[in-house]
Amino acid sequence: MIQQITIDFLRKHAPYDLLGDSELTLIAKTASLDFFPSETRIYTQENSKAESLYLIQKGCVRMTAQDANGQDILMDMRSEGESFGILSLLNLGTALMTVTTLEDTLCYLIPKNTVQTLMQNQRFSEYFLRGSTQRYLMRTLNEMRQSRQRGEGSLQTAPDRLIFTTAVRHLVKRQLVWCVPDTSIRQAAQMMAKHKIGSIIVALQDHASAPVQPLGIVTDTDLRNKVIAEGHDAGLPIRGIMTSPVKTIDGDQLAFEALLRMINASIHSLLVVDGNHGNAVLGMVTQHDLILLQSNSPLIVSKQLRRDASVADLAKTLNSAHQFIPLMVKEGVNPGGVGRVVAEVNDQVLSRLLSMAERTLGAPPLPYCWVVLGSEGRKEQTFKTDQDNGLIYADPNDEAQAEAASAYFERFASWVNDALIQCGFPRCPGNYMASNPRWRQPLSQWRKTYLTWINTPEPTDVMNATIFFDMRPAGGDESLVEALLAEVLPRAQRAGRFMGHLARLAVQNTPPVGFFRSFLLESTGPHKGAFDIKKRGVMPLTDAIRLYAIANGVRATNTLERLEDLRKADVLASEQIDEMKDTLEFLALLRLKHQVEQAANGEKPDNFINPNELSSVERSTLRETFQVISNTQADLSDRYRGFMNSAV
Amino acid sequence: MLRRLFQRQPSLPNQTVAVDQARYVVFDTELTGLDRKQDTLVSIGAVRMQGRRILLGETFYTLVNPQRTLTSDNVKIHQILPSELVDQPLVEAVLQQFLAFIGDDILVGHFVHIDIAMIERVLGRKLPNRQIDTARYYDWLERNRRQFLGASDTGPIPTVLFDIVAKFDIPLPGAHNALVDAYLTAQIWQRLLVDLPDFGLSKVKDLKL
Repeated sequence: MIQQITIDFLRKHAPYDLLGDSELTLIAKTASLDFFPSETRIYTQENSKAESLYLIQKGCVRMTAQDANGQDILMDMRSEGESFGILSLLNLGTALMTVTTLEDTLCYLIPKNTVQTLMQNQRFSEYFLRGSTQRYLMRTLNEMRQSRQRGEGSLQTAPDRLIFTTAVRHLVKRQLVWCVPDTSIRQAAQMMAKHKIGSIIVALQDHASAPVQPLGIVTDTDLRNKVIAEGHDAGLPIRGIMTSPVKTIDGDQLAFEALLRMINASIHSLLVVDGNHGNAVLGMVTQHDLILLQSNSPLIVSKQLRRDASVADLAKTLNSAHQFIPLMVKEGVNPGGVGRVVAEVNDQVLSRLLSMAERTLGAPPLPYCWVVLGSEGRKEQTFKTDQDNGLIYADPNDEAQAEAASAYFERFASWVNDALIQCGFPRCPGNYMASNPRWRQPLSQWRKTYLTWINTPEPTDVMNATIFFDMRPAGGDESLVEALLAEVLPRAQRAGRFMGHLARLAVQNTPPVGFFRSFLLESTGPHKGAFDIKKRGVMPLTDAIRLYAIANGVRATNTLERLEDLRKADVLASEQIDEMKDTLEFLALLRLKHQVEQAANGEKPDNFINPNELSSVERSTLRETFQVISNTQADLSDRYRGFMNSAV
Repeated sequence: MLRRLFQRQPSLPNQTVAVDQARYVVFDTELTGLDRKQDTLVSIGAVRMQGRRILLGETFYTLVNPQRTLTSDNVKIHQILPSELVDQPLVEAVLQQFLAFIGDDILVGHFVHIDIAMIERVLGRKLPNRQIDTARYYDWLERNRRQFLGASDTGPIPTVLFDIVAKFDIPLPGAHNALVDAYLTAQIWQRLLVDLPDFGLSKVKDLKL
């Protein structure tokens, strides 16, 4: 009876559905059912020996691995009907990850002996071999194929591809720990313990500056199997128990290749050598390093965000999500991609916050839309920057409803703004936030505001307007934004004076190309000697492209998307658009690299780039991009001269 | 008296074993009725636990020939037809097998004293095994939770097996018999074992509510 209950469950879940009656009965007879309360560690990385395969009957677990700094990094989540622990059980004996329950969880524990029998079923074992370490390789391969078919770099899943783009040499983190063949086993073990490593290289070196010549390797398993189990004397030299020769991989090979080799040879580390320099030793790479490469995938982050129950949880996840930015930059993911991934993650956080706010404050009295503005609206945000947001709600039917809505959305906006601050998005110094009553209005009021900007523009209004014309719905009822923009955009298009102001704004900040082809740098203030890449590079182009977009009824807010729409509408020459795209890309990349470096050094990311930190190639490319900006501005001045004069 | 005590000694589990390490047999019986003197067993179902782990292959289930006619009420409750029982072993034989199965494990059941009383009457002697009533432990833990942890739940504390099963959100199998009920009881005990140490019941010797 109990067996039947177990078998019924197994039959419903892969790969157990591939098994025959006798195999299912074997599981039902040998398995046990264990219960783990929420937030229990079922087993921990490295320290636990796997004795069973776990199948979740009910509940959910998160799998984490520790990075070099001892930080837990979320690797995967598993829920009902999914299994974990197979890799540790078959390959390595010790757990690769730490598994913690996210809620009360019931697991079937299938003992090792049973699993070994089951693995004789080829379809079953194939599923697991594909399903564990190789699962993400397959997923990633598919992703790559699909993105090639679509003819675009698949940006959303960029980190998933790191394994295909990262050279093994970049994964070598610490200096090689090695010992000479005559070192005693005990001393070698002490070195391993001190450096917290699972294997040690046995090598020779002629003299201090000569290359290290690896002879063999000794792993934790060797210590267990060859020394402790066999009662081998730990005072004897290490060479007696080493495995020789050491499996190596050229540093220029991809991480993917390294992982395949490890899987095929059932080993969990490789010695990385430099093929260009006589196979000089670079260091070790472990399966763990490769698995970490996969971490922080936006996919996993978004899974976690959907589960986080409190603002504090969200803040934590968001923080870990932001760790993948440097990785993406390092691996050459283009900045446009980074911006979109960040926007995706931030939008998810926001949507969770909105539903938390609704739960806390009660259902909203009227439909509303939470909008994000400026760079966030353009999906060009990278590091966490100031909040720029607002709230549009449907027009109330009567006075009473108007009052109720006003009161409700005031509390609502403050709640969300505060929560965003908790998540690490600072208050906007210009107070472009939904908690500001000016930016929290019913639809008709928003319409009036826009029309005032358009019809009787003052220069400061136009500054506002640029932020608000990059408005994007980020949560709630998007039709409110649609309705607003559908009405105001055509009017802006025809408003000569307003367009004139926008044009003036777009040419106001010139790129810093000075005389003698040197840079015009900030001459005063704390950033003296540096130049502001945002103000003098990115913004002039962004402003120009926004103007073209509004003038031609393009509804996109993302600058690159605007350019593509402008290309389709035949507004600008295709070559000109390509040049502008390249320029934007280059500037964004330079800015991102600068900020990533600052973040890595514990500094607050800013936009001030010192020409000294650029390579000569970067400097000359930068000069060319400034030429593109100058040309764009000249072209824009020509086209909108009439408007600009009317805007004086 | 002393000799009997002495004889029973080896069959008691080690008193200092942690509650989540000890071995338990969780069981349920179905009876012809609740009269201790006249009624007898219709079936026994049991499953073993090692600490919190329910050992799904270590089960015991058998029907019993009660050697009497069942009332129609009884048939309704158990959904066991009298004709099914005719060929079953007699209660004495079944209990010998059951004793072999339980060994010196701790006995756990929902209102376990009813089942134990019936078994002991048939055997004509007391069972030495430590006994645990999940209804009672659930009630005790729930009272403590409410009193000391400020749990907001103020309604009556459930005592019926299926109500507690629902409280813990334990998946309910379609069918129902003594073994399934034992399995459900085991899953309740599994949950209670998580909390007992927090309320001071961490060793086998503490289990004497």
